[in-house]
Amino acid sequence: MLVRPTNGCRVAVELLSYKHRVADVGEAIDYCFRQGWSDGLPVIPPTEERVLEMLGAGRVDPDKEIGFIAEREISITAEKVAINAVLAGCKPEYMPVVLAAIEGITDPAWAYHGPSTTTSGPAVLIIVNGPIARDLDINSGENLFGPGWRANLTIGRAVRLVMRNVCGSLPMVLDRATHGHPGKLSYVIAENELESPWTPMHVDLGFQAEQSTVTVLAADGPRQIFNQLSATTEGILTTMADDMRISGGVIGQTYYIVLLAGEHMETVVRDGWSKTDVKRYLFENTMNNYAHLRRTQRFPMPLKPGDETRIRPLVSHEDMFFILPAGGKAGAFSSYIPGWAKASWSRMVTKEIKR
Amino acid sequence: MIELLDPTREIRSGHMSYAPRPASLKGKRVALVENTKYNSDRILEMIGEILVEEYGVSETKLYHKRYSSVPAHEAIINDVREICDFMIAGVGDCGSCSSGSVLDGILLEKERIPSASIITHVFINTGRAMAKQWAVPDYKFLVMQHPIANLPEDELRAKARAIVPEIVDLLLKAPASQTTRAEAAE
Repeated sequence: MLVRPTNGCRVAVELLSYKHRVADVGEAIDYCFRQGWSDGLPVIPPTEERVLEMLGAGRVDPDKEIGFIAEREISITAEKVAINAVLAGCKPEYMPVVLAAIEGITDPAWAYHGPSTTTSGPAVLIIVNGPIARDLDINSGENLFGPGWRANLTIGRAVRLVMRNVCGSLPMVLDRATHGHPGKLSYVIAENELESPWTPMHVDLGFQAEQSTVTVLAADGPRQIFNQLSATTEGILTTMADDMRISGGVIGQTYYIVLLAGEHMETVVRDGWSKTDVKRYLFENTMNNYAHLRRTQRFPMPLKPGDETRIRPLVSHEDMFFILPAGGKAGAFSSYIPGWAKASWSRMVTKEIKR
Repeated sequence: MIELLDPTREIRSGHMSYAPRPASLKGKRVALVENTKYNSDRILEMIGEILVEEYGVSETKLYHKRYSSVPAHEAIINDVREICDFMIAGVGDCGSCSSGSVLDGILLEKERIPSASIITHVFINTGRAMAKQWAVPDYKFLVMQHPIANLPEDELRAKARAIVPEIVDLLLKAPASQTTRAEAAE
């Protein structure tokens, strides 16, 4: 039985996890590898002191259930989330984001079993919106998918370690990704809200600007497009749409996250395009016809009469495109991220971050 | 000396409790729960035809899951329980659908419906892990060679034919329960 201070009160806290004894920190890191607790990178030893600090920052009791996955009969407690957040190298102040992300992937709408087990190998894309993204220095600019930002790399890592250690989503076992992609280590970004002409994504989804949220989406890796020739939004989006038309699962009709970076955003702002304008353009210019989809073996052959003119939109509705300003100021690049498979199989879920 | 807190979940140990088995398939109704993957409905129908023609099954009913990665939804479970005597699930030939088909068998056995789940061989680990997650690590499922989605009709039929004796055996004779030891989360 331990005692930790909470809001001036002293509350009894008992951690229930089994304790493993090792000689020192060096041995602890090797021990965690040997136990299979790591994603392949060294971890921070999850000592009681660090775990309690993590729980304190998340303002949760260790026995609180953060999520339940019915199809696996898995209950995820705050204690296990905190231990894995320590392993991942999170600062304690990241804990509210990790907790909200776990709430997200255990929401029945996210439908955990499919995207975590499938051979098609999506990662959990985590988009953080609102003031907490700035407070925690979650990168929304240059190199936002790359190394250099502790919050981006450890928050997603913590989520993946919970999936591995608590939910059993292990490669070769209950995570059968044929390839997977590097985002499965960590795939956390923020939107460049401060320089955006538009309302941020969480406000579009019904939250207040001063609220902070985390959005989780089962997603493929990012795909970058290059256009330095166009001085118009339509020119840039022509390239984007052409690249997107055959992407992701193509026939599944999933979500698309579109990240417009600095130079392209300048053009979009100058032209005065709204998010809806961008979405509509992309929707109308990413259609396929059934004949092509059959000839390229996406739909079963044989061709049917009318297939040449029968249209299959890439997404079910223009609102399945989510447009976010993000990325570096320099460079004529933007990116898009296809969601997993079919939108109805795993919904994008947004949760408020409580702190 | 330092102490590390275990980040894994402890999984309950246990063993499978199978539904009581009738003596034969004669005059019985068999549910076929297909997982929506390409050809899974066809191969289950072929299995059903053989059971009707050669084992005296009175009829089969084909159920479609919502999609491949989920367990059979409540309406299917309720309907099978009401009007069927046996259930065959499959054919899982991907990661999330194999384990989904294994789960269908576990859920229907809990409903006292003798069941057979079929997956393809490259997903044996995944099926076994799903059974462990449900604390029934010894649950018996059936395995056929991968893949099935791209097979022509005659090869599908040969696969159906080959697995029918194993299905019949599992539907009529519950495997002996094995004593299991506690296993830590993987």
